[in-house]
Amino acid sequence: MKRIFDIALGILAAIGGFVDIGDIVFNVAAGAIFGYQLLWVVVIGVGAIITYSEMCGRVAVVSGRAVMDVVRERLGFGAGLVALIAGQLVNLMTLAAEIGGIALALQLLSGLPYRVLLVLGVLALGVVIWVLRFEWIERVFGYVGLTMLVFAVAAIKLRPEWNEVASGFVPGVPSSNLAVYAFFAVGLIGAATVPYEVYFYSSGAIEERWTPKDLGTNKANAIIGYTLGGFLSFALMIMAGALFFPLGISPEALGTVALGAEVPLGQIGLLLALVGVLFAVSGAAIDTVFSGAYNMAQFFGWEWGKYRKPVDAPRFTLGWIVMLVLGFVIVVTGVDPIQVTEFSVIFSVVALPLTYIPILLVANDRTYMGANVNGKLANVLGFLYFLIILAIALAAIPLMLLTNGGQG
Amino acid sequence: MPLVCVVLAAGCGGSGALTPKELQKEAETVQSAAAEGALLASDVARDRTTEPFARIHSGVLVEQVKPATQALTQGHVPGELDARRKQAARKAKAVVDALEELHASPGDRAVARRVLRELEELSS
Repeated sequence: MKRIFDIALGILAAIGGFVDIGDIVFNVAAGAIFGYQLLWVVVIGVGAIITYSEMCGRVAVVSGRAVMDVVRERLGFGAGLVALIAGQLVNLMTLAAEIGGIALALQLLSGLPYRVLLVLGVLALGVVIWVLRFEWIERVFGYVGLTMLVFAVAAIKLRPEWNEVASGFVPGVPSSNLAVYAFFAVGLIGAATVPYEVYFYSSGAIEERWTPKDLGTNKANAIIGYTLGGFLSFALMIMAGALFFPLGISPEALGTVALGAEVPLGQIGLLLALVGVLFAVSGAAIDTVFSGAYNMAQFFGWEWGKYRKPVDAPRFTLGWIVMLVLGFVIVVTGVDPIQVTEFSVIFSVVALPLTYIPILLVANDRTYMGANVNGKLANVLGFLYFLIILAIALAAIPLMLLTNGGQG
Repeated sequence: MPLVCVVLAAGCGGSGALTPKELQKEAETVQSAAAEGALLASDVARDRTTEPFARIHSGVLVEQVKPATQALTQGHVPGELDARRKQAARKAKAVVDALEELHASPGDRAVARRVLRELEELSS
């Protein structure tokens, strides 16, 4: 019974914690520009994150080693350092975007000045990270983030043409705007597979002291949690396809996303949407803060873990504090968080192969994994998704330049 | 998406020459903000939103349209497109004015109804 309860809690946390500001921005923009035509791409992104999260969780459980530890061991110091720097830059950009998203959501809720809310938001994050235990951080933000499900209700209330929605799950090529379509396809896969998710997932397995008995929990969390998290992505895109696409509205602000819940559901929809966005991006901000500290500690062999007292893991503690301060410094300069989000997602795509290939290699290594080495299905999916990741990594920057960042 | 404004630092706002494609883009930005403003005004008029949200989001929309308004007002286009540019510039200014009114009175349902009518007309 306790195990079922643990799985349920983990799944709920994964649903609420899956969607971050990158998913929100790219799914809503894709729906507004292409209607439902890009829904099939979300399926690929969700499939990739399920495959690699399950793999890195299994590696962490069996070998006791999280992703950056594995990256350094497999790629060596030089290439590993490149992966670390790329991963940290993407983490930092993502964190800045999430912090900006927190302040924007708070501003839309309260009407208070943005910069004041930036300071309050970062202080609140710092206190939460310092005070709460790891599993409670994960669960509180995951559960309250579930209010994002209001977008699913909004999508249904907007009465989309369901046959058109269904046809969006069939891969297709548009008759025009092909480069912009490809740019959004890359962005959607990138948003679903941002590297911090696997850094955090694998380190979380160690934080929660999973043992081989928890391999079932790992699989259930990855498959069910991310599938249902992907459901939120579908909801955002369908909502935007039903409301913004017919009106020619091109979303460029977080308020537009909230409007998508307000129009069909009124004030309650607006408030649930803003609270959901606030907790989803706050959860993602915490994930990226920790990912930055985990990466440094695992790469350089420092003591790490939220379960340790700060005095027992001082460099790890200093690491997350520095991440938080740097993220704040970037966003307080006045950069637009939505633009930072677009950059962070596209650059994270470029860094993806360096994060994902070591996971695939170690999960295939019988000397590490013993009986829990990758099976046929995990290998087929792993290599297939790796090829896709490689292709989008090569295409991301050229497409960004070719399409003027999706503007066409 | 406005990403290219940062990447290339060109083509958004300013007072240089406007290509037909840029003219079209700026007009689409104005149309998008007008349509979105109409949705917001409709919710204010029916008391289906909150004052902070209406005030902040209408302000954001104003800031989105201003660079397009400037580009349309001051940009140069080939002669045959100038009438289209002038019409788009007038429309952009009207959208900014309507959104600023909503921004100044986010809780006033009568103002919202008037703004809604204006923006619906401008976005059609």
